[in-house]
Amino acid sequence: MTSTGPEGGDCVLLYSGGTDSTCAAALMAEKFTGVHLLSFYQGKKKEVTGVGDTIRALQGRFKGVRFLHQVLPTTDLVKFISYSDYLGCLGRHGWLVLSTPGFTTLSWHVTAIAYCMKNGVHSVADGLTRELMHFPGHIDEVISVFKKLYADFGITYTNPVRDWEVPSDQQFIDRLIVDPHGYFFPSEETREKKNTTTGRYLCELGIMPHPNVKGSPMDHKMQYDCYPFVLYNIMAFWIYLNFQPYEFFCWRMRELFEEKAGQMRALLREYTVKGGNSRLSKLLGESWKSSA
Amino acid sequence: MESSYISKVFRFLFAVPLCLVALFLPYGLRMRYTHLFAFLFHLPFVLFGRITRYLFRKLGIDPHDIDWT
Repeated sequence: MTSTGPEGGDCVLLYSGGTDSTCAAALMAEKFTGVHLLSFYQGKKKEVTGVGDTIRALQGRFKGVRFLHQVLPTTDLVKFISYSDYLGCLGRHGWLVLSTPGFTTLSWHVTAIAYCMKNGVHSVADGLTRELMHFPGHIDEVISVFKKLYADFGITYTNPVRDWEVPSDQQFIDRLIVDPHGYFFPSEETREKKNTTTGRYLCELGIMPHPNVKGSPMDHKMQYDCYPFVLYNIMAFWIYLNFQPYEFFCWRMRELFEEKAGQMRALLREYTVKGGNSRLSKLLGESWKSSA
Repeated sequence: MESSYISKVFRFLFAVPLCLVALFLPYGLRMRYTHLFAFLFHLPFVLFGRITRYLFRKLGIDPHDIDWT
């Protein structure tokens, strides 16, 4: 697969508990001796009963690897990202200030960077595929902004399953619910090279009982809540993509996230100096101080 | 082509007031507003899924065994 041999050391994985991020965890476990699985929540913490089983299955398959799972709140940070310099942001970016899914993703990345600083980790990955390409965190231009933010703090951010195929039934149901404008598939050449899905890979490793558990009761039990996206979809599809090309939407989104990443860069730099007394530490909350 | 443009305009006119309200809501209310839409939009699919699961169970069919292609 994508393994390039063991690198040792630790890495951080943004972990929802779903098939794609579990597959990314398995790929990271082939390279690193420690995998820190970071899950996030906004508002009330959800009890995810199945995630322990999935991590135990990963541990059983990769016996020499240490898996450490942390569940961290991002409510205050998302609120800060969404509303800092709100009127100025509204004037410059218009409707895009409703990009809550993207602000949530940015909060995960900022938390991951702070976690890496705290624990001396230099590699971060996630289970991002090429589904739902209208979400800010899934847009190539925005991902490059996030990669630069990580690089500024000496951290490498990778998407090991980005070009893997997605199960066909998932595409169908997602088209019905959230993506009437169609999918942006990887090129044919890429599809031939990676002619497998994350679910099939996990099934072959013996971690999942079936190549496609997406949407099943098991999937619901093992996965943390996704960010709320319906209002964002209304804005993206019915206001923006109705009349503007996808490329323009991506360009505007990149402008917004470069600005937001700039604000976060300043917060993270302050965090490197002041640590627990910084604004970021307060936004991450009390549970942050006890994590790891 | 023309009807497609009209439907785009209708969608736009429907979306603008919904999003305009959200622009002026604080975080907590905006989240509740979003969750309300999520509930309403997903309701038909959730009900469809429940009926389908019920029918599969009654008919003794495992949907994973079906070749959907």
